[in-house]
Amino acid sequence: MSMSGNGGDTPVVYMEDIVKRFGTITALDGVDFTVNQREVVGLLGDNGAGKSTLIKVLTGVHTPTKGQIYFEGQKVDIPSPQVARALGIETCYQDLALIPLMSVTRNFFLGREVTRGFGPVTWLDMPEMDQQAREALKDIGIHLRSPREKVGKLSGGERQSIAIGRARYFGAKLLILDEPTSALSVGETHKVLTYTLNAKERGLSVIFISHNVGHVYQVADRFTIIRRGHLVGNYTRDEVTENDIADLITGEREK
Amino acid sequence: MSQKVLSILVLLSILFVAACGPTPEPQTIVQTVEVEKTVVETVEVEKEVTVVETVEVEKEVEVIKEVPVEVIVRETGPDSVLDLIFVQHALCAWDSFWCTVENGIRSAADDMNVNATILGPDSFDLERVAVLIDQAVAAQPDGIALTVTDPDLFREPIQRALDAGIPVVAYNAGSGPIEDDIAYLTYLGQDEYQGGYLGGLRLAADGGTAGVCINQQVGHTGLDKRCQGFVDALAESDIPAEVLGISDDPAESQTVISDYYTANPDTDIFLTLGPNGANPFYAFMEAEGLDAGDITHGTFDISPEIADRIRAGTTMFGIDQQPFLQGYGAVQMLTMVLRYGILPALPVTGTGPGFVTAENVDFEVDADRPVDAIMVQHALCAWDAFWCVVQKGIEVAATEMGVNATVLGPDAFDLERVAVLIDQAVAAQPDGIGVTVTDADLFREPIESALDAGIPVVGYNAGAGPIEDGIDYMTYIGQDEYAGGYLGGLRLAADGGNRGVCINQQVGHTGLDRRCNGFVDALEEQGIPAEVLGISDDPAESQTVISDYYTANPDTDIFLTLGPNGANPFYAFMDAEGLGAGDIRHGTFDLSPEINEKIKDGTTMFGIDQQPFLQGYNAVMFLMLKHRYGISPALPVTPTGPGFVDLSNVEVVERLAGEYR
Amino acid sequence: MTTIAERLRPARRFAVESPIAGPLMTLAVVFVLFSAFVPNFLTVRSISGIINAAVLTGTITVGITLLMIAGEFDLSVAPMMAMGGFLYARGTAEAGSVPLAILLALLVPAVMGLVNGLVVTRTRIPSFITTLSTLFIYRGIVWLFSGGQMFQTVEKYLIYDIFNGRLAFLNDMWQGANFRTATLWLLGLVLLFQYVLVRTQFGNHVFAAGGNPGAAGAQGVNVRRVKVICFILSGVMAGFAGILLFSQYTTVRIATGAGEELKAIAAAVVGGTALTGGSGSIIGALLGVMIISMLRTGVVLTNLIPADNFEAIVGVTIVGAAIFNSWIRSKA
Repeated sequence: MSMSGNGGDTPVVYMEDIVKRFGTITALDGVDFTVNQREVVGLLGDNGAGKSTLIKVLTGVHTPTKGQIYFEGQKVDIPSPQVARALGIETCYQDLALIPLMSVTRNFFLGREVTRGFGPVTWLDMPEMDQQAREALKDIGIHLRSPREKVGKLSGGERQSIAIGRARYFGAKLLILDEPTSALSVGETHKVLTYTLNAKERGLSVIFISHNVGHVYQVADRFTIIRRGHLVGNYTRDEVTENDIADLITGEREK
Repeated sequence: MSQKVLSILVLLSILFVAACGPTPEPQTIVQTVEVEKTVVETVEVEKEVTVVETVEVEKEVEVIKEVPVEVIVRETGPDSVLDLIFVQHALCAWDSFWCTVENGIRSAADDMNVNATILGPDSFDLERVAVLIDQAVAAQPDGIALTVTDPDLFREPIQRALDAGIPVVAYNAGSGPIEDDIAYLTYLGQDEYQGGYLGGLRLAADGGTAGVCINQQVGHTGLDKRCQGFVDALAESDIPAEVLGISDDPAESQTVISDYYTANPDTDIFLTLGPNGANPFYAFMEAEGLDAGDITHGTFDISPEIADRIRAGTTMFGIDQQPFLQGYGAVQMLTMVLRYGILPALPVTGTGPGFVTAENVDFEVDADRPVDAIMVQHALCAWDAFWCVVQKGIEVAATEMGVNATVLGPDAFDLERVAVLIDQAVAAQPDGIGVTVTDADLFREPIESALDAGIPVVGYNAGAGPIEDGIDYMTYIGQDEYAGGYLGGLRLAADGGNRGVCINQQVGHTGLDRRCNGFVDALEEQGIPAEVLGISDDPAESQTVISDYYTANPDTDIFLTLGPNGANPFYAFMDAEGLGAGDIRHGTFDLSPEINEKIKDGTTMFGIDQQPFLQGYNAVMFLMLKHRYGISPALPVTPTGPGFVDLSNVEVVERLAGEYR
Repeated sequence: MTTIAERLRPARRFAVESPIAGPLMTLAVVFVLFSAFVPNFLTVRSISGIINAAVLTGTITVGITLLMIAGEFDLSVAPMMAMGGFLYARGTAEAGSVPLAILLALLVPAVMGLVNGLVVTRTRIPSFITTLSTLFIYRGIVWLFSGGQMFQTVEKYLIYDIFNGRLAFLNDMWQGANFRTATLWLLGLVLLFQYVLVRTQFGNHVFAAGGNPGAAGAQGVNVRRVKVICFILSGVMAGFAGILLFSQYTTVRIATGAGEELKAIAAAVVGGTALTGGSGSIIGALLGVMIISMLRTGVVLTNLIPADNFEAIVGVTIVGAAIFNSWIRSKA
């Protein structure tokens, strides 16, 4: 479990000296950010610190004003979310992850449907998709009543976990969880944290963004803290306590 | 994606333009057929109007009688020369009133290029008039106009004319085909109720406390109607009004009026029904020392005394039955029927009330006065085929009457632009302006500026009449919707029936609702239950609604549809149910190729047309009559429709469709 | 060894989960009540009438429902229907080219739909406003195209019978029946669209685009493209409605189809489609049209309400059905 910073070798992502300006406002001012293989990184910072700008740069939503991104050691340009996705970077936003009125299977395979057919005439292979969705979710410890059930009827934790399961199933290498535990009950939160660790077990790297230091602290191997567009520092779990982290976020203490 | 979509869009829009671009001219549902001009000469007729003395006519008629009897079918059309015979119970030769009527006939015959022959007895003799009618029929003219002085006496001779296929209109004397119970086309004369009503509105325009209608012959239908109209008009302004009976004795009458005034000193609105009432009334005024400042007075008819009082301002107006218009209108009606298959809209066509006021009491008639008219309308033939027919009416009337008529309209439907065009028309200072009163609120100011400049204005095709529109133009020339429904109902119920239904595709639309009201009223007068069935713009849905209604009310046998939108699903319903003309009776408003077919095969009794040609024609005609003869349209609404198209004239109508119909 | 509750479970699940459960129940209740209490309702004549009345609205509703599931509205279908009708009418009756007539009658409304779709997806002006404006613009185009005139023919061509002719063999079988080919076309289209919606990738994307466009986009669904295609299909269906209309009534006017857009939306809602998008069923929408048509016939047949005011009753019942649907859904 404590393999932080290992993987030998090439980090999954290395962002170097990232600057992002919006007109006269500098949102990121030379931030370095690394995620190693099979590592859960907790990305922390106050509102407006630059966490989401950093993530948007990584996922192709924003283009950086300056700086380089290396994915698995290769220098890459990420001009669009599609490119990020093709590289294996999956983002799970709590609101934007799933479509409540659609079934688990349909959500699971949305945009990557399994079809059968002749030539241009194709149709959905529902039994196949049901089967695969069920198994993929079982694999990270999610047991469903039915894959045909509407996602809207599932609990918040279950929904997050389906998104996580889906990302893993489709070969994501880096999973970005944006506030995955906000508005969840204690039990639900526990489930999500468990699935996150399960995902890591199966080879994924995870960026875990949260306001809740307690939740991050339970799963993250390392913490990257940014404040007002600057990197405050990287800390392994051994180095800091929950309280230390909270102080670092607000800037009451520099270490 | 976006580039691809854009290029597809460009491609498709090119296709779209290509699809729309080479579109032929707007499709008209109607085909214009070249009408051949066939003139069948029967009698050698001079082009001038001839007033034939009875003796001479007898000779002529005898000559004709010797010809082997055969019904000569005359082909008539837009350019045909027509022979019309007028039979009246008096002549200018011995009753000067009739000189005005005959002038009207003569002017119209001249304008419309028809031959008019006037027949009359050499003294008042109704038996003789009946004989003259028979002689007129024997002459086989294209049309006959006559005075229905005695309907019982004239019924048979008139019927003989109708049986010979000769169209007949009545003028000056009569009560209309329904009351007279003779199926002639219309009666042109004074609308007595409207005379009293419109007179009452004028008298009460500036308020008042109490009104009285001074009636010299209580019990006389015509005079009672005048008083009824007056009382109704005042009641609308919350002014109490009643009828005061006087006698033929002027002295006695003066006292009666005086006594009434003593008992009702707040009376300040007086209507007299003619010189016989006005004369003692003026005596009463003098005796009481009353003048125009104390009371308002109006009267029917004109006498030298009344004319003087109008000039002096004592009397607000004299109501004239406009005998000139009776003669002129009779010629015009027959011409319309014969040349264009256009029928008079109503059983009674009002030629009066014509109001003679201080402004026009000294009007100088000049039949040759040049007339410049500007017609401003919200659409043009150039982009809406309907208006070609209206403009054809304008053009024909202008040519016939020697009027210089200009048509103005916007390039596309744009009412603001029309308002500007009215202003421009006013600036040109013409002798008359015709306007489609499409939006009364928007057009009020420009129209009023025309009226302020002393330019007479008529409304045509769109409007509700001067009273409802709240603009003081002369008249609105267009379809009378209620009368259409009512007269249609009467026709459909002529042979009885069990139940009627008015199929309304737009319940809540004022015009359509009026049609249905007229229909329901007509049927209920005949003791036949009738109601309104609402349908929609969706013909499939409408067909089922009609079918369901018929299932629920299987005794329904009279159907009125309000246009092709209703007739279309109705025919589909008949088709699906296997119903034929023998099972039910159907009439409709408007025409369409389908409706024309159904009229021809007997399924549909009639289509009611608003006769747009007549809208254009009459608008020019009334502006001309005003400018040359000082004659105003009688009523706030001058109906051009309902014009019934049935088996008898559907062929003519179809032949002239698109140009005159 | 199953308990009654267990045996009832599939039925209960259907009631709660299927979007057509609500309309199906409403339809059944209305049908049974009317059959029992309304004279002449349960006759082949009334039934065929109910079906015929639903054909034009039904065809429009298919396209509108698909679009509503994708989260958009189309208020401009009426002039598209009129345009389709005019093109088909002129192509068959004037130009005499049936294939060209059909092609243009479907293609031009498709382009109109495309324009709607592009404006909505590119400008983010709500489709309600966009299509309300194009309703007037397209009506103006139809006006120009038609020259302000109704088009009517008294000729009958074979193609008219193919699209909307009498089904003689059925009608001969029953006295008073009036079944038509248009019903078969509508039925075929409903099944096709339902299949596309539920069993194809495109259908999946339609649900996603309406249910949560952000999430759909995040999963790589081209939401704009999906919506534009739905707008185009809505136009095509409107054009086809124009073809069906003219084939029976051989009359098309500028005002043809006026009000169909609202009836179609009402039918879709009665048929279980969510006004907010993301949920619905083409079959349900057809049931919705049938329910409204059945109500209309039932109300007219009872002969109790003044015949010019029965639509009010229909309106009240539409609201009732919509409330019932959402109540059913809330039981989930």
